[in-house]
Amino acid sequence: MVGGDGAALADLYDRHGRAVYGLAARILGDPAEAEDLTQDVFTLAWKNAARYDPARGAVAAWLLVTTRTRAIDRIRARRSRPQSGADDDDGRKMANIPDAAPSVDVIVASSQDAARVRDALAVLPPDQRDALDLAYFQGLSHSEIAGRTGIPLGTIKTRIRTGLQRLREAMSAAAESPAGKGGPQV
Amino acid sequence: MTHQDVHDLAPEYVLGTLDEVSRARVLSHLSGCPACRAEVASVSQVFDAVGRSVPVAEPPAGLRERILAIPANDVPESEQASAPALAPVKVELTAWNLFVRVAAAIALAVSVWQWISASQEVTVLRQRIAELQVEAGELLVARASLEEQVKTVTHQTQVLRASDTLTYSLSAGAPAKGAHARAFVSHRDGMVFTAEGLPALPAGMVYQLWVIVDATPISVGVFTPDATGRVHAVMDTPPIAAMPAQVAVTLEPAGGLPKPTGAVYLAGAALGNE
Repeated sequence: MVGGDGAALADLYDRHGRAVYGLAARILGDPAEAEDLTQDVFTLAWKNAARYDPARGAVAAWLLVTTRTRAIDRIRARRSRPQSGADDDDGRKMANIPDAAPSVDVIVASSQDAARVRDALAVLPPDQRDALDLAYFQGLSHSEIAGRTGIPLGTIKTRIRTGLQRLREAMSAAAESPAGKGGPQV
Repeated sequence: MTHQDVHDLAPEYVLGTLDEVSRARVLSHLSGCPACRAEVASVSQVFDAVGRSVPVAEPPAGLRERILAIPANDVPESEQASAPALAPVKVELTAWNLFVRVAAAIALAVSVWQWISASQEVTVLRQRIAELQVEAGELLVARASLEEQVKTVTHQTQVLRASDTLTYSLSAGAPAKGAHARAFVSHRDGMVFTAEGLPALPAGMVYQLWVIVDATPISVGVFTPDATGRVHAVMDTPPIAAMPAQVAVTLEPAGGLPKPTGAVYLAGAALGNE
């Protein structure tokens, strides 16, 4: 997308728009805000067009890191506002977001390890999954998680470290056997 | 910061929830530790995969049109700045992430370093202020002492220059052999008393100075000589109806008494009026 031509932007959006929107919706829990954020992220990508090469995997990672960072900024701002109430109904709002149409040729190739991570997340002990969830999707620091859950800080750190280690093992298993299905139990 | 500390902080470092100082410390360690850089990169990859693991979702139909309209509404910064088009930067996923984060972290570390330097400077300045306050306190004490001396000297000068001043020469009584003293008395401006060779005081006793007016001793005050038996004092003249006929010193219990009871150590009349 060097030079920021419109066709390249369309291509970028068609490849990654659903992933950006999905992550934005997962973190923000609100379709309208997720839409707004998606537009922000692609505007930012357009402005920074000269700085990366979309042919590489870097752009997908950049888009998702940017999406998460900006989404967390938004929920932090939301938390610091007096009344919120949006924290507890993620599930209900998530239900309003339609799933992506299946069998699109995007994301799939780069999502082998992501699928492994998704599977690994699904079988993590709930306390580890919850801790990782609060850290990654809510943007809470370890001590904020401890404060919110009433669980000691040391325990939170251990849960996150252990959870990460299991995910890492699942990913390296995926790297070793890229075509494998249902890899080693974690 | 140890390798273990950095490993412990790696998740929060990657997710951006460390406080500034911890973040700067981690960064400082990473700059010299390839093993911990690899650990941070690995944690970063796992979290990236967590982000990718979120199921994709179909955005509302209108969004694509709005995003395709971005170029019409917005000119890329590279063109705004009319800078020559940069060659595409080919970087690996993790290298790119690391570059962005390290660049941001370096800027942060610089500001933290400046902040820390500033606090050290503040500490030094605070210490200097404390020292100056002590010095100022000492100077105030010294000034007060000098002012007191100036006041005494001024008072003494006033007494000695007063037109009504009489000079009394006091000679030693039997207990104070070898002592002698002079008193300068002005009715209006006060008294100066100076003595030498006074015996050391017995415990619980003081010398008391008297002026004798119309054969009645009137107390001026009590005093204690220094270790060499000297005393020099300037004081107000007590209310008296006439110039004293004599000035005398007696030994009295501490605090003095309204009327003399002890032995007379020094006594004498005004010069020229004996």
